[in-house]
Amino acid sequence: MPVWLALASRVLAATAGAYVCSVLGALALSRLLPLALGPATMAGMLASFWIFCLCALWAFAPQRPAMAWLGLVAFGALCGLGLGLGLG
Amino acid sequence: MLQGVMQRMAWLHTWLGLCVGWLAYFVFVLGSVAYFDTEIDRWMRPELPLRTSAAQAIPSTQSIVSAYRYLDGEPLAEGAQVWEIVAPQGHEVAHLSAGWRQPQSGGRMSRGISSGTRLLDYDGTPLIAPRATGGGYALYRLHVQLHYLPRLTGFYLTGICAMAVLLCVFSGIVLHKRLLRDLFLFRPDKRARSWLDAHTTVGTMAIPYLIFMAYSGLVFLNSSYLPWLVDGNFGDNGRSRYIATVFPRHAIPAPAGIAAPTLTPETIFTRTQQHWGGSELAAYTIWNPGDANARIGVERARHGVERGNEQLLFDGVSGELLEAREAPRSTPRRVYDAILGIHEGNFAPGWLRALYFAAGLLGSSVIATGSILWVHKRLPRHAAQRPTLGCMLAQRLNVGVFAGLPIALAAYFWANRLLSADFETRAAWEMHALFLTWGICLLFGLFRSPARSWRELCVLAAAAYLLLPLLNGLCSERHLGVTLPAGDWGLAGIDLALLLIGIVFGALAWWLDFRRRRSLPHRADPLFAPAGFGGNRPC
Repeated sequence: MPVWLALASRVLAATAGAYVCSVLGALALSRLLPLALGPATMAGMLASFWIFCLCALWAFAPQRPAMAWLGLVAFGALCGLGLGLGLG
Repeated sequence: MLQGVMQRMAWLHTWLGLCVGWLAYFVFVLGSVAYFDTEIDRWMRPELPLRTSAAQAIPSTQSIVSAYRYLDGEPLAEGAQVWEIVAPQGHEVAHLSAGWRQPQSGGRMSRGISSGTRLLDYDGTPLIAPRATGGGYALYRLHVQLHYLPRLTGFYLTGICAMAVLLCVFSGIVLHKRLLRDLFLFRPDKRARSWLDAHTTVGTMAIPYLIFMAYSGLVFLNSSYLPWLVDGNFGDNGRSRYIATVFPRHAIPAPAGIAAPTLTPETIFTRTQQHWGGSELAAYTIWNPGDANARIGVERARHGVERGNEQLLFDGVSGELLEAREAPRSTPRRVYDAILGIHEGNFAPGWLRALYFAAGLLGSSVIATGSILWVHKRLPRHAAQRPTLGCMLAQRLNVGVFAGLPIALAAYFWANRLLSADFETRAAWEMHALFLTWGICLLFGLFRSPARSWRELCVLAAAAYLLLPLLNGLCSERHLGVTLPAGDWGLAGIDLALLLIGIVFGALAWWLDFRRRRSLPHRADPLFAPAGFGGNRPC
């Protein structure tokens, strides 16, 4: 993979990928916490920026960009599962 | 390329820092200045009276009664939907104010949207209308939502900037594993290595401040940054429902159209004392004054870090307590309030806000040294080589941004004193003066050799700040000769701080000159070298 493409892929993972993961993570958290919806949403928001930060750093951690994406997708799936459980 | 994780983190740290560095510097410098927004507000409105310790000792209840009497006799406030009285509170609210809102202005209880407001003396006498100015509040807004941009665009840009700062800090921590050693390591006269040491030293010291301020800055506007989260939980356009849930407001009925006498503040105070004892009050609001559906809201003065205020809502005719809103009880809301309270620093006394200011400047210097380091590492070692265009551009923009912004801020203060007090758009032109000056500094930095422009801009900044207290003395009656004997340390502190900043810039200009004279040609620091100092090392 060309260097520029690898970098572009990581940057995309660190921005769009991390943002989607942070929203999913915050949604799951707000549904799983035993709080009223308003405070739980706020708790999700407070956590979402850290989730974004971790995901964005993760995008630059593995040697291959594909691994970075795989990690983000796995995290997103986990959040989706949590969200499903919370909604259920 | 970028085989190791450290290399990738270095790439992220370097390029992200370069991309957002200038904007982050602007936000941090303005944010640091905004810790003294009330004092700057007062400095920029010299028509208003001094704040003596005797005046500050007057209880808020007495001030509120005076303001109520004023509103009761003010013809413009007659028939208003809301009367709102805000009592002076520490450094946060400098003057007693009485406002009113006519029915067409909407029914939301919020400070600053009254259709009329008067600043009052403690005995209820209206103060002379001060000059129109953005004051310190405009600097605060500038730090949050920038200028000449739609509000939301400004919010998004500062949000991206805050997140980038967080990522830069964490990637920097990964890069500089031995933080404690870096804290005490500075090797002077080693060119790029000296700048690296400066960057890591101030960076290490500023880590807690940078992390907290960047994170809390994001928390401020969380629902704007995460609309999908809010909509996901509250349905389409759920933001208003979310805000109504988390930040509930009093339910105020519409006017009944039946005249009924509204209870006086003295009567209400006897009831508030049952709840809060003799606590100081922050605000006193009357909805539908003189109507059978009148409501009176009383807000307790804040204590401690948290932002949320305790409020009581009374029936304005019978005096029955309708709602007692204690400080927010849900843990996320309390954490949110505490985070924002610490970010704003409104709870802090003067000395602590001075520490906030110093920490803010430390954070700004991390950004500045980082950007200078970026240039320094890419400048050629030999005079025969030319730097790349990007390198030269960054080198010259650094001058205009880092040295130009303080000058632009000085221009903001100069404009406040030099523009005519009855000039119609003077508040807007104060801000234009700031940006015009900054633009000129940027152009100056672009077209002048960095060796000279750094020193010359520092000299200009020193002159601009050192002369400001003098200009203040010539143009107003709120100079050091008055404020110091009166013990108004808020106002005197601004003049003294301006002098101190001027001295610091003077010292910096002297140091740059000394360094230039001392350097032998073969040891010349390429950062401050004349234009044309060249090379082709890749950026």
